[in-house]
Amino acid sequence: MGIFKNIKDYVTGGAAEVSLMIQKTVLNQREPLRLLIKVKPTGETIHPKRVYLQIMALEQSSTRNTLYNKEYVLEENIQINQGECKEWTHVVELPEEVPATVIAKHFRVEWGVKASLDMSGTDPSSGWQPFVLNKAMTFDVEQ
Amino acid sequence: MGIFSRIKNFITGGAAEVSVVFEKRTTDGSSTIRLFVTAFAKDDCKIKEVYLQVRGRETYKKRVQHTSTDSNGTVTTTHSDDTHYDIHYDSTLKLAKEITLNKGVQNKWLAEFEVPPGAVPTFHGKDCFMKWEVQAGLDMPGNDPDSGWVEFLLSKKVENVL
Repeated sequence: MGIFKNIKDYVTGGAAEVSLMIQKTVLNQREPLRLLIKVKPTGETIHPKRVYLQIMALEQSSTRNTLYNKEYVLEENIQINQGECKEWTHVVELPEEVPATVIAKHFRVEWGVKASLDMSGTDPSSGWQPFVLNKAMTFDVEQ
Repeated sequence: MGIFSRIKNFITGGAAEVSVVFEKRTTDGSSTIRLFVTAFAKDDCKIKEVYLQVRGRETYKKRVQHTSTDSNGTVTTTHSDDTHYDIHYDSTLKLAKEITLNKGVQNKWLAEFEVPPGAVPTFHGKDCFMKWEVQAGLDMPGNDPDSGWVEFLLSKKVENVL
């Protein structure tokens, strides 16, 4: 592995391929989010400090507001050897009070999940993968 | 009731107190919504019509560009995220016509309606909202006495989410 590849990987997060599969992309009511994460080094053995997930709900019109943002650590201080592929399965139970996916005319509430490796430089990641949370919501209204 | 009080009521719509009482404040949209409109006359009222407005209104932010030119001809452009509204649904039900409500008398009317199919459910976010509301009013000379907008909840899963 040359020094230029290492520098490139540091900047781009290209030291590993991180894939994230969502078992069911439309969750009804309180169904959990079931995930499969696969990590494979693109070159030499890697030593991520953490393998972690981020789950986020964003309200978007011309402004962007984070309605939910949580990180889940899958494993810490690991080694994945050159040519090896490591997998994790993870089930996320979202809290009852989180918002549903909303598609209105001028705004949206969208959910996404991302798997990443905590490494020096840019963290290799799967990129944001969308999923839909379809449920009936309740809100307090003025009496 | 003196003439000044009548003039005040004409301007403010204070001749009657109007309120709404829902049978259920939350609906999943599959059944009829029932509520009572109540009016208590604080003065003699000749009412042309008792009505109920129903609306579904989306509130959102929209980026707006502001351009100004100063005395030197320098153009400055700024942006702001302004609050905008989009009425998804607007309907008025007529509950009674040509009635008189004498001072001190209370009357009530039953109203029934349904939300349209495919309606966006209630949402309360940070900048964005989807609200379903009703407002009952008495059509009278001057300002109509009304209940103000009262929210009910449309709480349901969405049929086609993708």
